[in-house]
Amino acid sequence: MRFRGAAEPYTYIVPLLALETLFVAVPLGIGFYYSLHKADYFQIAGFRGLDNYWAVLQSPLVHESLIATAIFAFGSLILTFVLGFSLALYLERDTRLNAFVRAVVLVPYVIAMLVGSLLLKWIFSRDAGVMDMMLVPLGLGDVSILADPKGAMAALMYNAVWRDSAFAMVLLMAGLKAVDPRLYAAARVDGAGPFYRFYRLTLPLLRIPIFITVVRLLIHFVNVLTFALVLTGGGPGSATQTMGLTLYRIGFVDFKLGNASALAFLVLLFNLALIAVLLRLFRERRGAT
Amino acid sequence: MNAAPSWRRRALVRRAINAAITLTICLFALFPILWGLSTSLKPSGRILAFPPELLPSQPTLEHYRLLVKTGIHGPLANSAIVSFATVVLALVLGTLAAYALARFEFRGKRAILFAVIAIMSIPLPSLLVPSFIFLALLGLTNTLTGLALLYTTYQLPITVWILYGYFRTIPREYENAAMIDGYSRLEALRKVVLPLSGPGLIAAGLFVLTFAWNDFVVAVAMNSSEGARTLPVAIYGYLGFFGREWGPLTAAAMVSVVPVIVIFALFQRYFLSGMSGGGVKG
Amino acid sequence: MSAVRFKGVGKRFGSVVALADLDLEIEPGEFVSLLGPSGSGKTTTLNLLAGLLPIDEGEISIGDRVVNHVPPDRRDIAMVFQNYALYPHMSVHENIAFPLRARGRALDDAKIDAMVTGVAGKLGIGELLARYPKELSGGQQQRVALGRAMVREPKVFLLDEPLSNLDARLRLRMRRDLKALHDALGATIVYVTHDQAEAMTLSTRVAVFNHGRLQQFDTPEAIYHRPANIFVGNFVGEREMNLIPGDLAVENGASVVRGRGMAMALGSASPTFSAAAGSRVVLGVRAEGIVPVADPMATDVPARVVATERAGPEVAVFASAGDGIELCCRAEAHAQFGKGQAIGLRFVPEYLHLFDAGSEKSLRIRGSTKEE
Repeated sequence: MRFRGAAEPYTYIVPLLALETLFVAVPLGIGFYYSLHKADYFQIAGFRGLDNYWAVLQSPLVHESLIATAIFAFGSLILTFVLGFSLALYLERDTRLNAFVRAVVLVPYVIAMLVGSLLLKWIFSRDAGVMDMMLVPLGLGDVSILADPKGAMAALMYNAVWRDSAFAMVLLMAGLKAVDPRLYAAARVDGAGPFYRFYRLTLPLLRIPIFITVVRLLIHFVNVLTFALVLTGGGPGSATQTMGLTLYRIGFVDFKLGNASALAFLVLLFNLALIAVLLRLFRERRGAT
Repeated sequence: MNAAPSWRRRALVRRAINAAITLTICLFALFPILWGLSTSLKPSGRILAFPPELLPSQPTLEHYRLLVKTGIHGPLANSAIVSFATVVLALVLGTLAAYALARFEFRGKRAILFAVIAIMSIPLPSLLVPSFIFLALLGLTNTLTGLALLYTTYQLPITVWILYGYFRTIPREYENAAMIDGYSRLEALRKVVLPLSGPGLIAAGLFVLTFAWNDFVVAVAMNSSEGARTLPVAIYGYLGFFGREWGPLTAAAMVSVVPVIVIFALFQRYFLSGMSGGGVKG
Repeated sequence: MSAVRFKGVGKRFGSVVALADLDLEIEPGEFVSLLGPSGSGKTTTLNLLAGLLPIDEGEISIGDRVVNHVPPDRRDIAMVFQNYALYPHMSVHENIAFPLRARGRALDDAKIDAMVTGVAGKLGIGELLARYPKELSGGQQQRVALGRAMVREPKVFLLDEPLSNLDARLRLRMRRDLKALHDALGATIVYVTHDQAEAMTLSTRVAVFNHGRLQQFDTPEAIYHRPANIFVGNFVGEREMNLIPGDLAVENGASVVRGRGMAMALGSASPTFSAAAGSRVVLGVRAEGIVPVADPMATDVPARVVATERAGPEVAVFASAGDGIELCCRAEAHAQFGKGQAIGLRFVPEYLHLFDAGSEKSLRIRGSTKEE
């Protein structure tokens, strides 16, 4: 058994590495190759160099998509983060009631994104009558939320917040739990009120978990496709055509694989930049603890 | 002595506010699902009635029957098969890799750990197009095998992460004692470490299971043909097929959602440990 | 006017009684230790005093004010925690300044700076003001925690096992520093510990707790030499007491305890105890109260050596006597006792304690013992 020594760990790792390389690295390589060629429906029809990239960067569809994505991503990020943080603070103590409420809040997160968006689409549609019931008393009745560009974006963000606040809550709660409770006791005795404690104790000590949560949420919102695909279809017009949806459209509806690959590569670069930030944060956390 | 009554009143008010907040939170989270459930049990005629009623006064299973008639059991079975296969594959490969990372020191270990975190963070939609091209070249599109392989690939990093964290908490002495007794390392892993790793395996398994059962984006890109569809893809298809018939649509939604909620309710604890295990606490 | 007063204070956690019916008065300038095993109620008492926990029954006063409903930061107290609870993201200076800034008092930076440097100087940590907690040693962190408490010039200092995280040598040194600090400041200190040696060295008075009840509140000397019950006698002191159950008999005007196959005369200690003849009692005597002598015939109690232990300058001799009960006695450093040797045990009357077998309370008549 001794002679297996040096090689032993590698034999355990090989399946993992093989699978990841095969199905992550190789597709990325192939995708890059396709991005440099004219490719419709798998037929490679000529080298185009960086033409696909220019086409994508200049496409008005992509521009509109960038705007929609920016609005959606940052809007959802702020709302989801604030709600998630509030939930984490509110439900921090380990009582049975809190454990129950935490689980309830997580239900929208654990069900399929598709289904969540479908159920919300039903609620937001005029047919259900639910929205009318709520809006008429406010004098806003007779609106079709999903038919209005601003309404559709709002509905999309609502979907994101409804589902992903739980994710933010879990990440931030783990950070909260890592803080020594005696620090709060000491601060109370020292005369710090609840807001002062939050501002000078909780926030600074939670710096890294907060950044990690924000970056992960951002990566998620910039790329997500299901919400828009199901809830609004990208519309009305292209008001809610987020980047994930655009990528899907170009690749799997128009089948312009060359352009789609180019766009995918650009989006991937952006993601990798965010991931690099994330890795830096992880390393900092390791160093701090 | 005069301070006591107002202090007690304030406590009561605080408790009332807390109850109201808690109720609001629960409603906010669960309403869409409960409303969908209610709709799925209403006869078609009553669904569009205004004002809408919360509890179905004439509950019916007609929409579920319709789903069975239009063949929802096919995608349902496909989802079950792919989920099961993915869980098995991910746990087996993940256990090996996580064990090696937890127990050995070797060149490239840190790089692998970083790579694991990096891959975990890559959002799936950005991999769709290249993966589709690759699978098509391999002839694995519209197959359950191809889907299971992709799912395993995407879920291995978090599986490894969860199990790695878990294995590190198990003292080495257990396997060492077994190996001194004559077992090979693999046998020690199987007979000693794994039985002790129940919670970690369950957490990782649940994560993978939920992902495979729920996934839509990868499945719709790779497997759109009728025979190879999974449940979420079928439901998406129903959106076009049933148009605005919300009865069968919400019923289909419930078919996907109810198993997940049941499993979640039973195994909550493990979910939470898995979620933050992939993010913050090492 | 006492500095701290507990009147009938009680605290429950669900069905568990953490503290029952506590009556305690602490005078200004005292160093009072709350001593006891874990779960005895000492930490609960401190947390109640700090206002970190609400009380269920009774009344707590600080100075002349009843503070039952007063929040921690208005009680004019300062607290040092077991792990110091230093804010890790703030420098030493900011840590010590925190209480001054937290209350929104309109103190200008110059004044705050002066107070912080003043306190730091007194504690000998003046050069560390710019450093961060994780760069400091245990002893230094401890002093920063003390500084943070001192800077507010509170009426009462509460210390929650502040030394238990330090290694043994450092602990002894910090004990001396704490005592010196107390003498210099003249502050009222309430100190929680489970280490009886610590409590005995540092305190003007010690409050011993067990199972949520106060057992005895007295000077260290009184606690040691006149324990109120078996628990206190056993808990305090380097070793556990030798406890010999038996019956009290009066023979020829002198009291004798017969039990476990031995007859032990109380001798000159007889008049200090009040107990009826024939009652069931427990005789308690510390190791230093039993002297082993080489000649088994020289005493009333023959015994056989089971083991010996060298403890610093003394030798502890474990001997089996009577019907087999093992007693621990203290011998001089140069005495040589071999295993199996037959010896005699001489009980020193001044070190004898008598407890009622049922209530475990001391049968000593109050005020009957001369001061040592």
